Amino acid sequence: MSFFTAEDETFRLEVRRFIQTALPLEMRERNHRAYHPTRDDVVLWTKALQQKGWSVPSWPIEYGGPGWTVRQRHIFEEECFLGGAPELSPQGNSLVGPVIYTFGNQEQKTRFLPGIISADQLWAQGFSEPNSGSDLASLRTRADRDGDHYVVNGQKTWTSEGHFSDWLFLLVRTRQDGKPQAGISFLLVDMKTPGITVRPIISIDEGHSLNEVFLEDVRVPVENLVGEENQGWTYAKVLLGEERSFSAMVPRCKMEFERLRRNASFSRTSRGRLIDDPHFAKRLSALEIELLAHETTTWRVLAEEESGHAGAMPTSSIIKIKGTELLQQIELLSVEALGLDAMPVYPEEEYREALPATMPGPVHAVGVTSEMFYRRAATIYGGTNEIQRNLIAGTLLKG
Amino acid sequence: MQFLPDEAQSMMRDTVRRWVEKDYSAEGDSTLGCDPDRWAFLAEQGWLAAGVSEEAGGLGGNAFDLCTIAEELGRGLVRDAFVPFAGATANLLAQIAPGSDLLQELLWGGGRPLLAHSEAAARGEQLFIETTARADGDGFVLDGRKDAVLGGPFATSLLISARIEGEDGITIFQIDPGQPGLTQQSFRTIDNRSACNLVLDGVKLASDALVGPRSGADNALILALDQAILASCAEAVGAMEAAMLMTRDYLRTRKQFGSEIGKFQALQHRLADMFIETEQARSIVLRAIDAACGEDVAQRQRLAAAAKSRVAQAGLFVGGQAIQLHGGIGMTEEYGVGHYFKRLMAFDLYLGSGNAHLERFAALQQAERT
Ligand SMILES: Cc1cc2nc3c(=O)[nH]c(=O)nc-3n(C[C@H](O)[C@H](O)[C@H](O)COP(=O)(O)OP(=O)(O)OC[C@H]3O[C@@H](n4cnc5c(N)ncnc54)[C@H](O)[C@@H]3O)c2cc1C
Repeated sequence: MSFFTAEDETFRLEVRRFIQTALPLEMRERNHRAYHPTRDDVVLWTKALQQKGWSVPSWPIEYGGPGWTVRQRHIFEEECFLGGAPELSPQGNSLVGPVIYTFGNQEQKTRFLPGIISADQLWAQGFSEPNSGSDLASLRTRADRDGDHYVVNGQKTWTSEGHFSDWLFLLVRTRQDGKPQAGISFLLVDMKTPGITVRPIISIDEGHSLNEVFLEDVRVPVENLVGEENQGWTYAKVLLGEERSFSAMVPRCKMEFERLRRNASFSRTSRGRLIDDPHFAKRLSALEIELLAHETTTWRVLAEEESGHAGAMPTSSIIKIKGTELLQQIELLSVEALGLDAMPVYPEEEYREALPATMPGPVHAVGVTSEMFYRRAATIYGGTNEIQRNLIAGTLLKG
Repeated sequence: MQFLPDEAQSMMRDTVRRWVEKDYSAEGDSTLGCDPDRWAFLAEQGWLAAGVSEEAGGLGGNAFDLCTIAEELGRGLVRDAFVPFAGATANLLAQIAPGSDLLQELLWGGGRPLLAHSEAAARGEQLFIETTARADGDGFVLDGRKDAVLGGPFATSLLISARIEGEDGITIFQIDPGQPGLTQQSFRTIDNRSACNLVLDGVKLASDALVGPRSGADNALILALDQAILASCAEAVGAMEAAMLMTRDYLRTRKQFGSEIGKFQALQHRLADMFIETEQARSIVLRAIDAACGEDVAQRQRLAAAAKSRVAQAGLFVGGQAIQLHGGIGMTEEYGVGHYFKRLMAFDLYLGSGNAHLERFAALQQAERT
């Protein structure tokens, strides 16, 4: 059985061939090491895709996308991952872009969409705050109207890629009374505006992708408000749904599983290769079976999306939970498979661009442990797995 | 079976805990991974000698004493390579060189000899080594490598395990870290400690480099490695308990949706599971300590394997959930709950993974039955 048609498979080959020719070799190696992508790599790759009209794969044709089917989008994402391409900026591509073309006005579309398509403008997502994570609606960063500007004060945190982004999309409070959800607005902010301070947060993989963003009397022109004032929550909810379905992580799970399998053929035991060890093979197989089931569930969700009538169940929550937990299991086994070669720190800044002359372990060990540490966050970002389970149970119990 | 520390052990535990909380600081440590003055203090306190019998030159304690100290060091994520020195090396020397100057220096200060045995391909198979020694006139020539020797950069001499060509059994050779033919590559471990790989390329040694019996260190090595496994399990239990309590405190203070997140039953159950796992881990360690204090060598090995297997499983669960229940803040290098997870991951990799020891346990059980 395959979910994909013959045409889909032809498309897959086309994508694969393009990646093989267009993606620079060093970039592929860097990304196979799975460190955080750099701005340069993201920009370069997005521009290469733009030549083909593929740089915003999920967008409709009228806004500059390729107008692909759900299946084609999935194939594209998978081939990019497996081929070692850097991830396209999810903030621009999957989050703020769709909000702008769905809820923004014509002027905003003209002004902002081209920069996302070309990666001339990279975006960061400023939703979470120190005291508003799962309970996002309680956010306190406020925007007060002053003539034709909003004056923004507050703090955002966990802002991925904030240190190299040009623009920030913010949820801010524009009304203090009433239901918390009903006083939130969606603002687009140039990160060069005076009053914005970005501070790095180093995560447990010893890498830097996260930031705190402090906003002090930041003046934002009112024309940067998306949609209507106090309606931002409605727009964000649409976008958070989007964030969950790209978190399916099937491609990433596959990539990491392949890396695990490859690495296990390099690891030696007293009896030969680790990959040939029956105990290890059994554990690898258990993960592979889980991956098959997970991939199929994801296909079912895609088919549902394609047919246009989504069921009542929050299926995107299932694939978010399964995808992230499976990824973590694969990555734990990857570390274990490396054995003592997983012990050294291979610091991102010394290993990302090129490998140093002497290393405390083999090339294939580089990046495995830090990736595993970073992906502990996979069950936290994009709506924590506890929140997703609440959603599933809540829907089931409602009947 | 001893469940709780006796009076002297309680006092020692409290002293170690106070030292870890009040005086221990890894700031300013050199790349050696430990500060020589701090190490001298540990020796002075008798902590390095705690698990070694009086006849061999130690303080006369047993595995319970050793594990009591290790647990406190694990609780505080102390970086010092206590287990490799005071667990593995001290135990080995107490068996093959009791009363020796080498052991005296290790236990009471003056020198830091370290067993360098681990090789990547062994994956927990304790006697699997590929380092060889060739007789050469009166002496020997060593070739091979050792991987991820925890504490290696801090050692003043290295005790290399090797097989003499044409002989069965393992021999221990003492080598100076500066010995020609020996290359030492130091690195920082994922849990921020110091280790090194060693490459031995035609290292020439005189006959007096031999420590203990020629080609007869096998059984002593197994016991010493099991002792180290046990002590590292105790460190892990300390780390788990600290991570669990830190998470409990966070659930009491962090507010979302208008209440402490500890009010959410999903998180209450998870915290309860973290506690249960920690207690299961503690129980298996106590059982293994009991076996280590007994005479039945087979039982001792089985339970060391059982402890490693069970504690590793519990450790990854507790460490992982500690991050999870903290949310984003748990992911930061600065906040620190993630450091427990890193230590528990490194613990799993040290001396054979939990799964490797599960297989070892099964094999030992089968051997016993047939
Ligand atoms: C690597 C990473 C990248 C991120 N990138 C961005 C970004 O670019 N932009 C952005 O805005 N945000 C980003 N985030 C933030 C992310 O969305 C939040 O971390 C997430 O929403 C959780 O919020 P919190 O961290 O405050 O945890 P909390 O909400 O405080 O949660 C703590 C724990 O309580 C649990 N919990 C909370 N409420 C409930 C409940 N009702 N029932 C059961 N359990 C509950 C959670 O599941 C969690 O285990 C990122 C986070 C990470 C880790």
